[in-house]
Amino acid sequence: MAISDEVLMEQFQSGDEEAFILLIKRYEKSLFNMIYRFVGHYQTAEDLYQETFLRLHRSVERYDPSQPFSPWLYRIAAHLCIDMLRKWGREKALLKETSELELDEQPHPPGLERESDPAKLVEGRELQTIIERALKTLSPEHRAVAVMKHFQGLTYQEIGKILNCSIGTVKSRMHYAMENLKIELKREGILER
Amino acid sequence: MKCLQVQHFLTDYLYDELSWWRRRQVAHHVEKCHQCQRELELLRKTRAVLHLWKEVEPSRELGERLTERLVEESLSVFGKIEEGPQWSSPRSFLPIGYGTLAASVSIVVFARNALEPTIDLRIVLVCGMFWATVYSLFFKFALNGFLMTAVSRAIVKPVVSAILLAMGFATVMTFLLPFLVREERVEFIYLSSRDPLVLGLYFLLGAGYALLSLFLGAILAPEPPKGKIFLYGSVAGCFFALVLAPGLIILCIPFTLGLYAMLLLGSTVGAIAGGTLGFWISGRLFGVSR
Repeated sequence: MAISDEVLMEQFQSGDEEAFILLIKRYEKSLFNMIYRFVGHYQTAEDLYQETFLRLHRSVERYDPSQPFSPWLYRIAAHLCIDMLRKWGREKALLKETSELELDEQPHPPGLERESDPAKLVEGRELQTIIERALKTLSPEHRAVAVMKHFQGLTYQEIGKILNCSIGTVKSRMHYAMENLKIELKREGILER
Repeated sequence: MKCLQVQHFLTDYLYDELSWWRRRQVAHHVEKCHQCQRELELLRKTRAVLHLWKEVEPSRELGERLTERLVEESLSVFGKIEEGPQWSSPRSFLPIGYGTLAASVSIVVFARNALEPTIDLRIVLVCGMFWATVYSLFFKFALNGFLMTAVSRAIVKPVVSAILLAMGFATVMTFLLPFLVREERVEFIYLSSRDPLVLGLYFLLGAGYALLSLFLGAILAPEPPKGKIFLYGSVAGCFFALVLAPGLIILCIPFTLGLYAMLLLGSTVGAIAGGTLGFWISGRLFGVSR
């Protein structure tokens, strides 16, 4: 039976570095994708991913093992992402978004490359760009809720704890985010396909 | 329910975040209302499109870069993630080394003083251990941002360090106190309590003792601060001076108020200087990043 995240953190608090390694490996992909979907730039996502685990390492003694671990981890990541987007300004930050041109210029994020059919590969890239473009219309706070709810599958309650806001606020932001995404995707003609 | 109300709940309905009663109300309405059915369908399609955004893989080098950054920041001797962790740094053995040295010196000094005892050495040891334990625990909390730590880290490490350090402090006190508590000295103290020279001497005594104590403690602190060394040094120093006060009372040294105040003032200044200097040197010697 796999050791729970909370037990691993407790072990890490007692000085077991291997427990920290296991946690990194366990959350590597999901955390990275959450951050990537948040900021929309691969390199920045890698930097923020590293910073998340560094901060987790530094603040390990503040963690209470009686509380779930993943919201703690996502809280660190979410605040880093929100701070980054605020710092850049939404428009500046999304100058770094992976546009179609940039997708051609930089190594493609692994995942898309698995598609062997060129037509589907191009369609996949186009769709990704459209989705990213739609997400960019949201403020960092709305984007945070949408990413965590839809892609990470967190509950409103968990999201509220992570972002330190009420469930009502989370609901309101999620509603706003989905309405805007619906409008944007409709404008792109995606929803009619 | 009206359409406007229902459409407000459609996202929550879609993501299963409604109470069973509200969910039932919405489902009942949607069943009969074509407009809300259309809206729900659009939201479903939106969700389906979002699902098409495939996950990406983090680069293979990401784990290695993370390891490098952890090592750079000296957070731990981490090694490569694939290889697993390595041994703790030699620094963690410093308190034990100091304690061993202090214990050896203490044995020699105590044996010599036992021939001509002037004070109760048990009081010396108790006070020394009390001060060292309290300030060592404080160092631990201060260095971790005044936050509570896990039980094993909060108690075991500082207590072990405190016991080892206390023996060294007891040695220092053994040299100082016999000079202060001899009868002829007491009479001299009462007669000269307003003499600026005597006041200055007690200031220096307090400063010297505190500076030495805090300097050694800061040098040997398990996790020295990576920044704001003056702040940490000052806080630790003031705390030390506060702890010194009851220690002096416990020993019942017959000081006058003026001399007592000068001793405390000197201790505060010396402790702040010793703590700050100790942390600064510790950072230079062991390459802790600032």
